[in-house]
Amino acid sequence: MSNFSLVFRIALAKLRTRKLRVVLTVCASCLAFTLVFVAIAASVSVFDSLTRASDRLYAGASYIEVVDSNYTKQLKADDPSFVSLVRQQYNSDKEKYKNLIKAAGLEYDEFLFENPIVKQDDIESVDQSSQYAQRIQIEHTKASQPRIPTMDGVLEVGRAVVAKPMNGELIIMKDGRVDQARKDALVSKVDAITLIPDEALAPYVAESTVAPDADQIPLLLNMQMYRDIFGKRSIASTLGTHIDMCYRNSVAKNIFETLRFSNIDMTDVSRVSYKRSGDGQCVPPEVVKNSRTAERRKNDVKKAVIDKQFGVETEPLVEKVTFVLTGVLPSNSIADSNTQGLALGVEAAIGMAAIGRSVIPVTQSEKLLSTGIFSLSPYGYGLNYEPLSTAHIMKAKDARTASDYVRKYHCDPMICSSTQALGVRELTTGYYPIAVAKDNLAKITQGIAVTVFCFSVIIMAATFSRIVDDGRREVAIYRAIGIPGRAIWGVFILYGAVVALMTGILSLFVSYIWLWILDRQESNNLTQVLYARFGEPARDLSVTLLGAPHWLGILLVAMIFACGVISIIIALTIQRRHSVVDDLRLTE
Amino acid sequence: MASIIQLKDVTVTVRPNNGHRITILKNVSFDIDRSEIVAVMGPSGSGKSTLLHAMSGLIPSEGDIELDGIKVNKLSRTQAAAWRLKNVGFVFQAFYLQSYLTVIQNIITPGSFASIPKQDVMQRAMGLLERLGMSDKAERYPDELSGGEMQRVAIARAMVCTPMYVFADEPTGNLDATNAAHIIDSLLEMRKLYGATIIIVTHSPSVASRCDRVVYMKDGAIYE
Repeated sequence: MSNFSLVFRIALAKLRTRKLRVVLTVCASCLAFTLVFVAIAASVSVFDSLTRASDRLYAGASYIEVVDSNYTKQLKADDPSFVSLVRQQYNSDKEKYKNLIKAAGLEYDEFLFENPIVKQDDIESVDQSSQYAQRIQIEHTKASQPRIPTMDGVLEVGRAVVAKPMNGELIIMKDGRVDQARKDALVSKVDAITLIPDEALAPYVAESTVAPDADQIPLLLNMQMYRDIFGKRSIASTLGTHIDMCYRNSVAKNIFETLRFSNIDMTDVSRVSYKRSGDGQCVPPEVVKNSRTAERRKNDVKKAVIDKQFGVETEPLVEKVTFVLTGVLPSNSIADSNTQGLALGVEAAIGMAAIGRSVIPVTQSEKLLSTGIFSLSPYGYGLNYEPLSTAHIMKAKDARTASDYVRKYHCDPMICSSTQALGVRELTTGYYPIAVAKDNLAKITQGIAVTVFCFSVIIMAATFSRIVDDGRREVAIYRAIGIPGRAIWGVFILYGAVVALMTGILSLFVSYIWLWILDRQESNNLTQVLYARFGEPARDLSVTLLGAPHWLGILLVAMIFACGVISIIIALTIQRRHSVVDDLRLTE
Repeated sequence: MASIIQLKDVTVTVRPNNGHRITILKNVSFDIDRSEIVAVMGPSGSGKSTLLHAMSGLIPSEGDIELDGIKVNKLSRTQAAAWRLKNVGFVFQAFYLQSYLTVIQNIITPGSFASIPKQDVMQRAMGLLERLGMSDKAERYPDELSGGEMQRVAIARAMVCTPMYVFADEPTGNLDATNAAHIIDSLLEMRKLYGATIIIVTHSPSVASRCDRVVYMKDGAIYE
């Protein structure tokens, strides 16, 4: 103990008499670590703001399910006003999306938009079942699974209309007459038209409880909007929903298998999976819990879904969609979301076939389509008859973020209007870009932080090792007169520790000054960007660069302290190899 | 009188920068009696300082170096340091005081690490300063002292643990004749007080003339 106090006194004496050297050492290291802290703290703060924004959007996504469940209840009660309410909503949405498409500089397809409701009467078919049945049989024999007809003439990238044929061709009728102009307009807007009779689809709709109905399917517009708004993610979104809802069944397995070998963007699949994972049905909760970043979460969820389904490791899914398909699938029966989902699924299957991929046999359609279109259609939520589970509803209600959201917007799920519900729904699509932005930001900041940190550590190690190098004479003298090695180490380590501590505190102080200056200059801009990008949910979310948690500052100081002490220890260890006599001679 | 220091066939070989091996001391053998003051003289490069370093265990050597029954060159680095702390006082030509410690701090440092009670160390240090005529400069820093004063502080530091041996490597090399005489006076007084055996490496005949015996070295070997 007495030795320690002596060592401490000697270290203090060194500090007292070497003020300039201490100041230079502190400043050099401080400069480097200030960069580290500013980079990390600013990133953490912005990241936090994005997280809060995305939480709200995620809350919206959860919340809408609660709202939707009320519509489901209304439907179950056969509320006659509901369908008209949905239709009304759809009409208002149409204008909104039209403006959105125009604003985005995309082509506005007048025909498709102005003819949203393609009635059964408008499209009629002629039975060519024998031909198709024959072809299907051939394909089936070849591939040991049902295959739909090859779509000759369809471009690999583009749009196609799928319709039932009449006399072997697409005929559009209006008021009981053939409307050639409308047909021409449609043809001019698509890359290919494929006519598929009911019989051809028989293998795929065999287990459907209800047949599709035209009154329920403004798919033409719907898919057009998807294409224009979501671009190439359209099919992936559609399939993703099916898979997410029903991955347990063999249909989803086949879809997955198809996608694994296709250039399909599966990001939406994971997004939906993540969103749905709360019900404990699709993804084990621990997968979500243990995945820290959105990117990891996305991948983990994706992997969990796939692994659970197939029980094997799968290669990462690919990034790109090469085919977008639009289509009309008329039928004769009563409207049902199942059929609409089926239509989309079949469309996607046809799309797969068109790009030469394996075909998806759509079976067990009742399960497959139970809630298929539910969360994707901008207007179709009311068409879902499948109620969400009580547990899921409760989960959404109890979600912290969802509660926050409800409180914030005073939107009681039980009395929330459809307009409000729709507004909330839009948040679902807003969540994904934030998740991507967060992932990107995380990657960038991690890269910067690691680089700057390494740079700083090197500077600090070099600076601190000079303390020992400069002290070779001292060490040699101490060793010559017999001072124990531990005491010599103690002097230098204590000296280094005090300098490192001063460096840490100064770095923290200077960093906060920098952050404060940057915050004053950039906070408003960043807040405006956030609001402009994410709208209402981000209204009161201010982006501050001073939002980093306090432990980060403590961590920085601890890190600098450890770095300094370790540098000294390493330098002392190296110096142990030096000869005392050599060191004495060097300084003579 | 029994020899307290016995050197037998001591050889020191070095390999500077991993180059050729150079033998600095060649089979050096001689004895020194207790409380004897021995001057080691010889031309530069003859191995005088190396002899001191080998005797204090600072450098490895072959042969036998036995100081009061302890084979110094067989001790580990840590053991040698502990032995030096309690038994050897070093006085260098360049003083080698720690510039950031005051005179008194420089003197008490080895004593404090040698487990001597703090009061005793301080008392001894002050006593030594008094005898060396430096008591008024106890709180000064080394760079505030003259060469002769610094060397006297170095002697005080060497003597604070009342060592059995004092190795002085050209202690008067940086001093004028007057100061050199004072330093030798001081060393002689220390011998008188503590009975230390003193070995002085020097080029100065006047210093050598005040020692009990002179050992001459040339090309790493001793000749009388």
